[in-house]
Amino acid sequence: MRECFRTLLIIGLAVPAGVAVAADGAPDLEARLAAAQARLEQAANEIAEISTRLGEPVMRPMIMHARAVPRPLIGVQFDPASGADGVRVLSVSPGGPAADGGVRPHDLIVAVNGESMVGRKDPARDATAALRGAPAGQPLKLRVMRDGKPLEMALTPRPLGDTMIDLALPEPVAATMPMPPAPPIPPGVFAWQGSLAGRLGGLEFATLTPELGEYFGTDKGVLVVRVPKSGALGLREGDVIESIGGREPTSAAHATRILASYQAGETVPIRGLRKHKALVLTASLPK
Amino acid sequence: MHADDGLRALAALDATRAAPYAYGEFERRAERARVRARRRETRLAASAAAVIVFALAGTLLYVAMRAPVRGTGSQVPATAATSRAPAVRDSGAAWLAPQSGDPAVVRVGRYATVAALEDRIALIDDHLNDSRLDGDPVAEIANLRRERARLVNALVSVRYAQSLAANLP
Repeated sequence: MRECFRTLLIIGLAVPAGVAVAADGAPDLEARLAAAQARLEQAANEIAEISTRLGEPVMRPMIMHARAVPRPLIGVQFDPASGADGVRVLSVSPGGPAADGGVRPHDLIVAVNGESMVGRKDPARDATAALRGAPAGQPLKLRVMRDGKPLEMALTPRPLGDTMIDLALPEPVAATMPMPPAPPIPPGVFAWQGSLAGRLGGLEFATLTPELGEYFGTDKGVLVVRVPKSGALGLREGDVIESIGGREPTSAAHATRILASYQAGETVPIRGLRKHKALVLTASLPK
Repeated sequence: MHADDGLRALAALDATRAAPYAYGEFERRAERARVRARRRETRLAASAAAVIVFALAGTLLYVAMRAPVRGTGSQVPATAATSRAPAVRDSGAAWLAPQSGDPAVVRVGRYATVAALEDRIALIDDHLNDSRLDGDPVAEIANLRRERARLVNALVSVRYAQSLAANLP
């Protein structure tokens, strides 16, 4: 009991003291905190790059196969032992098309684009075929049972390749061709997606809401919120991007994925609005 | 006093005057005493309860402060070795689940890393799905799962660091 009182007493004294110190202001501590935060983010990016590099022997054949036989990304695993009542979802890829569409693990998919998956011999295989056969970028309708309640969802398969370019793959060849060993990572160089971060690091997009769209005079596109001082793609803050290379971004994240599909030095046509007037740019991805 | 004196004193009382105490008065006084006793008991019980609650709260606080930092799974990004991949993947997925969904505002450089990892995980999931349906060797499936766990781990690290950065004033 005495310990408890002592703990409470310590807290009671320490919290106001801490507040007082913070109120006094400690610019060096603020700067150190920001620097530590930056190091943390840098370390996380390094973890991402190294993890990706480590996985190249596994990923490379998959990407090459997917390039040779184009098919959209779905990002879902089905239970192969699903019964006649539908297809049971085992796992959903974080941030993948299925997750974006609202699919969750343990959901029971009973129909894909109006095609029933109930009463089938191998519903997992049939559902996979139905999803894979759909064109990328076109929404698919799913009917799902969750906790006994029916739900309608829209899943938009994603084209493969938007974010896979950093592996510097050769042109599509037969998937059975033996793969050359992955090049070693130069020490201290992290040129992975960090390259895009470096080139367009300060660029910020916002998904256009109906209200924002009304203000800017459009019902589609992505708003350019911030442009780095060095400039990026010829864009200005307040521009609305309606298409990038002929593809219409549906969200800020989608616009980023589209941009990520271009290599440094490539040119890309951007269309949109600037001060309510049509904007046409031929932007070059910085090196 | 002799008994006769008492009888005489009683006989001398004026029968028309009200008795100095009636039975009702005794009842009222007894009831007041009972109410006071009940109040005393209630106050005592409330004091005891407050002390117990205070002691419990203090103990919990103390235990929480003294408890060793464990892999809290859904709160902390997992950075464990690949050998612990399945557990890492599960905790990472649990942490990522409420984070999913496209952010309204996107910083291109940061999001490119997230998108690259997410697409790779989705690609692996699609292959895992095919592998299970095709009855591929267990070792191959385990290899894909290990790779997936590593990428989920990396994604958790990146998103965690980014979310911390975003919350800085």
